[in-house]
Amino acid sequence: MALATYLIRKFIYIVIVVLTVATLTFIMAHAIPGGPFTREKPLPPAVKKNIEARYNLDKPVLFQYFDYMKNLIRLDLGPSFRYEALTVNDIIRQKFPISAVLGFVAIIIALILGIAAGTISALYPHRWQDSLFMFLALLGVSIPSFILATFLMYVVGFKLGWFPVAGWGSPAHIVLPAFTLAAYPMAFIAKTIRTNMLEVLNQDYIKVARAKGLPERIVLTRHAIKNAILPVITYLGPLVASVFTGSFLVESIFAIPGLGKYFVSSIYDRDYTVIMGVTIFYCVLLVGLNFLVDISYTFVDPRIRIVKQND
Amino acid sequence: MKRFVYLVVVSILLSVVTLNGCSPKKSASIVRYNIAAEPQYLDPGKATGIPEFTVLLNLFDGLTRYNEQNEIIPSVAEKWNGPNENNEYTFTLRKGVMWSNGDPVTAYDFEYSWKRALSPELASEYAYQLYYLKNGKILNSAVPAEGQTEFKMENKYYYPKLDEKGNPVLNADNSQVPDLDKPFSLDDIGVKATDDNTLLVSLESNTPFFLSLLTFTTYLPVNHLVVEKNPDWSKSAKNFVGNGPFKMNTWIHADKIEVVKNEKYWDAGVVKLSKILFTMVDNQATELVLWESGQLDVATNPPPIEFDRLKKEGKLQILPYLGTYYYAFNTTRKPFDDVRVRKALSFAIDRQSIVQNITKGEQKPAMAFVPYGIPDSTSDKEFRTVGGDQYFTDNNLEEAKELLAEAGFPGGAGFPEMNILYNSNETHHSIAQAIQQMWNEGLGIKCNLMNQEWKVYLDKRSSLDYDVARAGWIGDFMDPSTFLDTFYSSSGTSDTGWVSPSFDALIEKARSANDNFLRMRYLHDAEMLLMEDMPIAPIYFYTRPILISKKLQHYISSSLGYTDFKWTEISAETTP
Repeated sequence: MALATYLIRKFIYIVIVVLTVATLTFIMAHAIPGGPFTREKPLPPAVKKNIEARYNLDKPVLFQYFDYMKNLIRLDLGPSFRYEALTVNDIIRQKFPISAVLGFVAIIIALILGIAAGTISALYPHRWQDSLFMFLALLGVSIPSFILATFLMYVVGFKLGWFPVAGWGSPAHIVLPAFTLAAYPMAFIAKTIRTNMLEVLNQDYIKVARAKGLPERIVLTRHAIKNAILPVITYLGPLVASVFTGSFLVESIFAIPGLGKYFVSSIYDRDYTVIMGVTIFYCVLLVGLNFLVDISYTFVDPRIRIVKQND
Repeated sequence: MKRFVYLVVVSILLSVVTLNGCSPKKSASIVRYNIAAEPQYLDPGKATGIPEFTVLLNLFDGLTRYNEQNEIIPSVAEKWNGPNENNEYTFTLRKGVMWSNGDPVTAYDFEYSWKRALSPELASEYAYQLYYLKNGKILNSAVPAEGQTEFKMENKYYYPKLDEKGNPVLNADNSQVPDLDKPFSLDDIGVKATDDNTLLVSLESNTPFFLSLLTFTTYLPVNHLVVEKNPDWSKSAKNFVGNGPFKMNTWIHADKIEVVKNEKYWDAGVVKLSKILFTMVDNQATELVLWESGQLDVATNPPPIEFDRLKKEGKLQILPYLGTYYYAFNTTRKPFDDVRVRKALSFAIDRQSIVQNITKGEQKPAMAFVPYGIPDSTSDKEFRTVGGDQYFTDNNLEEAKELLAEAGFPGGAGFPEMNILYNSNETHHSIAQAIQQMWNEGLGIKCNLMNQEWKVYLDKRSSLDYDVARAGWIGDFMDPSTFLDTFYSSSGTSDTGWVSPSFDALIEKARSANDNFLRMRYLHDAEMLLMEDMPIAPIYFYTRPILISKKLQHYISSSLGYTDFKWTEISAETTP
C-alpha cells in the first residue's frame, strides 16, 4: 500500500515536472530572436503569409501554446517546421534507438573496463598496474571528447584503418564513437572503484573471509566488488543522462544520425516543435531513469528503504 | 598477475569482436556525394537550398537542362517557339517521356505543377520564382475558398478583401477575408496545356533568362496523378515518383539518400552511373577525412584551414559560384547616412589581402556588385566585363582619408565607435578582424566586433539594428537581376534602409524593356548607381572550393551551386 502511494506520488511529480519543462521550453524557444522561417533572403509577404498560416504561426502565441499542450497530452508532438518529411514523433522514433545503442555500448564499455581497471589498481596499489591505469584515468577525465574523437578517427580509423572513420550501419561503426563517449565515465568509474575497493579490502569482513580460507576470486566477486560498486550505481543515473544528452558532439564528428544532433540543431533552426519535443522526451527519460535508480538502491543496499517504516 | 593478464585479454577481445567488415568495396559506377544536410523538402514545388537542388536535379527533368558546355538544351521539351511580342512561348514536349512509375509525362503535369507551386495552399517558400508567369504573383497572394487546404485544379480563389486604406481585412484568427465579389480563376495563370504535348506559357514581361529559369527546381514537374492521390508522396522513398535520369531508392533521414539509374528515363542511354549515394555529413573535418580515405567521391565543404595543404597536394578544385560577399551599411544611422563615410570605409578595405590571406579559395576581389559569369545581352559577352570590371580602386586609402575628412572626421577624429555585425563562423570572424584593423590603422576609426548566432544576426540585420553588417548574396538564376533586384526598395531584401527612386526606376525600366540590349543597359546603369551611392561595400566574389575524386568525369557543376550527374562517367584508373 505504501509502495502504491509512493508510485502515485512519484507519477504526479513526473507529470508536473514535464508540464513545467514544456511550458518553460515553449516560452524560451519563442523568446529567442528569429523564427523557423527567418531566411537570409527574406520571404516575399505573400509567401510568408501562406507559410505562417500553414503552421499556425499567424495565431496569437497563447493560442499556439494551448494548441501545443492539447496535442502533447495526446502524445502528438507535431510536425517539424524544418524537415517537411518528418514529424517530431518520427524523429524520436527513428533517431533515438541509434543514440540509445551508441550510449548503451558506451556505458557497457565504461562499466566493464572501468570496474576492471579500478579493481586491478586496488589490488596492486602503487605498483605499475595502478600507476598505468590511474594515469590513463587522468587522461580520460581531462581530454575533451572532441579531441579524443578526432584523434581516434584520424589515428585508429584513417591511419591504421582498423575501424570505419565515420558513419553508421555496421557494428564496426560503433567502436570509435562508443569509446569516445565511454572515456570520461570509464575513468571516473575506475577511480571510484579503486578508492572504494581499497577501503572495502581493509574491512574486517574481508579479513574474515580471507581467514576462512575462501579463494581470492570468491572474496573479490562475492564480498568486495558487491560493496564497492554501490557509488557506481548512484552514478549510473547522471551517467546515462550525460551520455544520452551529451552525444551531440560525438554524433556530429562521427556522422551518426542520432537524436543528439537534433537537440542542438533544432535550436539553430528555431524548429519550435522539435526543440520542444526533444526536450520533453529527454526530460521524461531522465526523470524516469532517476526513478529507476531510486528503486534499484533498495535491491542493492538493504539499508535504504523507499518507504520509511513509520511513514 | 594471471588475473591481470586475463582481464587485459578480455578487454582487448571485447573491442576486437565488434570489428567486422567495414566493406570498402566500390563498384565502378557509384558516386558518393556529400550534400552535408538533410533536405528540407524533396518536393520540387517547395525545395529551397543547394542540397535539395542537387538531389532533385538528378531525380527530375525539366523542360530544359544545362549541358556540359553550360548551354541550355531541350530536355522534356523537344522544341519551342517564342517568345513572341506578347512574351508567350509554345513548348512542344517529347513524346513517350515517362515517370518512374510508368505514367506518361504530359504538358498537363507541367501546368498542374506550376499552378500548385504558386497556390497559397502549398505555401512554397520559392513560389516567387514563378512570379514571372502571368498573374503568378496574384495567385500566390489570393485567398482560397473556405475549407480549401490542398491544391486541386478545380479550386476556387478570391482576391483579398481590402479596407478603405488598401490594407487586407483580417478575420479574428488573422487570416485574410476573401472578397467574394472578386473571384480569381486558375485559368488566368500564364501556363496552359492544350494537349498532352503542347504547353503554352505567357509571361508578365520580357524575361530573357526564362529558358535558364526553367532548369530551376521550382519549374520541375510533379506527377499530378500521384500527387493528387497521395499528398505525402515526396516524404519517403516508397512513394517517390520522378522523371529524371535517376530514381529514388532509399532515403534514411539525416543519414543518406540513394538514387539508382532510372531505366524509364527518355535519355537513359547516356546515363552511365548505376547509383548515386548522397551522404549528409555536416562536420567539415569528418567530411575531409572520409574523402581522403576514399569513402567519399565529392566533398563539398572542405575546411578553409586545410586549403593550403590541399592545394599543395593538388587535391583542391576551385569551381565558379555565383555570389557576392559584402558589407552592408545601415544608411538610416549616423554617420553612415553620409555617402562619403560609406565610400571612405569601402575604399579603405584591402580586398586583395582578404582573399589572399583569409579566404584562400581563389576568390576575386569585388569592386562591383554583380559577379563574373553572367552573360550580357548577347551570350558571347559577360555582364561584368561589359560593365567594366570595377567601379573603384581596391585599397585606395588616400581617397578614403580625403572623403572621411570631407565628411567632417579628419583622421577619424570625432567618429563614433561602431560595431561590425556578423554571424558566428571562423571565416566571417577573421574577415571582420582584418577589416577592423584596416579601418583602425588606415582611417583611425575604432570598431568592435559583434558576433551573433545565425538567426539573431538575421533578425538584427533585417530590423536595421546594426552599424555595419556582413552579408552575402547567392544568385538564383543566370541574370544580373537576381542580384540587382535585391536593392529594389519594395523587395524587402536590401537590409540597409537605402531607398533610391532613380534606382527603382531603372529596375522597373529593365523589367518592362522588350529590347535585351536596352534592358542590360538599364541594369548596368542601376549597378553604377548602386556603387555611386554605396549602401554596401562589396568585398569579394565567391568561388566554390571542392574536393572531387579524379576518377569522375563529365559532371556538371553549375555556378548556381548544384551538380548534375546525368552524363557522369567513372574512369577506369582509380585515385589512390
